[in-house]
Amino acid sequence: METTMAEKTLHNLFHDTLKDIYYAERKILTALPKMAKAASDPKLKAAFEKHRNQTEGQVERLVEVFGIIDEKPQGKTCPGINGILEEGTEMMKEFKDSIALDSALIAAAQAVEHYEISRYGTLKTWAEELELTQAIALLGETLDEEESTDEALSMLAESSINSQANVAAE
Amino acid sequence: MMSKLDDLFLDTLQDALYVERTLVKRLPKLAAEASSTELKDTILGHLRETEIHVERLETIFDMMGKPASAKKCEALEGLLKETVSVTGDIDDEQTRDAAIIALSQAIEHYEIARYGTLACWAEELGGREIQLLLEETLEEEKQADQKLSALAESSINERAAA
Repeated sequence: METTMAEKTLHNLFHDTLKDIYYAERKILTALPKMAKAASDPKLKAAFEKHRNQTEGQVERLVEVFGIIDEKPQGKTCPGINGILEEGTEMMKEFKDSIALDSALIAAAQAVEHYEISRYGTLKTWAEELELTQAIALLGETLDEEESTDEALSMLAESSINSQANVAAE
Repeated sequence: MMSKLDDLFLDTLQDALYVERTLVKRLPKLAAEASSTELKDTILGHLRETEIHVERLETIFDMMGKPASAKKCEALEGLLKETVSVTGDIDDEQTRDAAIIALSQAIEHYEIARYGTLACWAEELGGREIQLLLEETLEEEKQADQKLSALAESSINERAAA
């Protein structure tokens, strides 16, 4: 009896977190074109555009995961991602005409990536515990993509962009 | 004249100070909500580290000749709001622990992103000593995240699903 209840609660937590990340991904889909538009470095623009396309695929994967647990795809307002995006928007406003805007955009995007990395990491672990084999693979694929995106952004940050931001203000 | 990257750096440093100071207040409450002794110990261990992170940030402000002032961080507030709403709903102890780990990891990852950015900018701005202090904290945040992952993968989730 007790065992069944415990299983059900982890299942509920999995479902809740799935709704949370589904909401987050769809928010990110609307934020990425704005970030691409604001970026001046063509490589950074391209990175945001590439990640936008990836994000569409990630939303589709989430729909599949909802299907695996026999639930309808549904989002739930996620204060975490709202706060992170709000902070990013503020930064974009504050550094709008600054040469450091690209650096601010990268920082904001990496905060978003890390939020997603933690969420997909958690969901994958729970999918393993709940023995949702197909979901493990789907969530793992997205997790890999988020990690690669974060690394690509780190590379961009470490290369020319920050030097430009620093030198140009003299 | 200050470079714009300097401004960004200072802004983000103020954000990090707010996060660390807030966590010093919040972590004891989170530890109190945890049921497993290992999880409690991990959170309390990280509380001691967090106190050192605050001191390191204060040292950096000092090195820059700036007052150590914190700036409200909407991202952390959002993450903490999630913590309260999720953990409050769960009666089952093991499942609540799983939720506490998940939310702690979301916070750790926010910090990893921020310290990674700050260390990278410090390098650009030529503050070698500052960079090293930031990297020390970054390393501790990454380790805290790994400890939590290990806890999640071991007993807690197994018990929750058993």
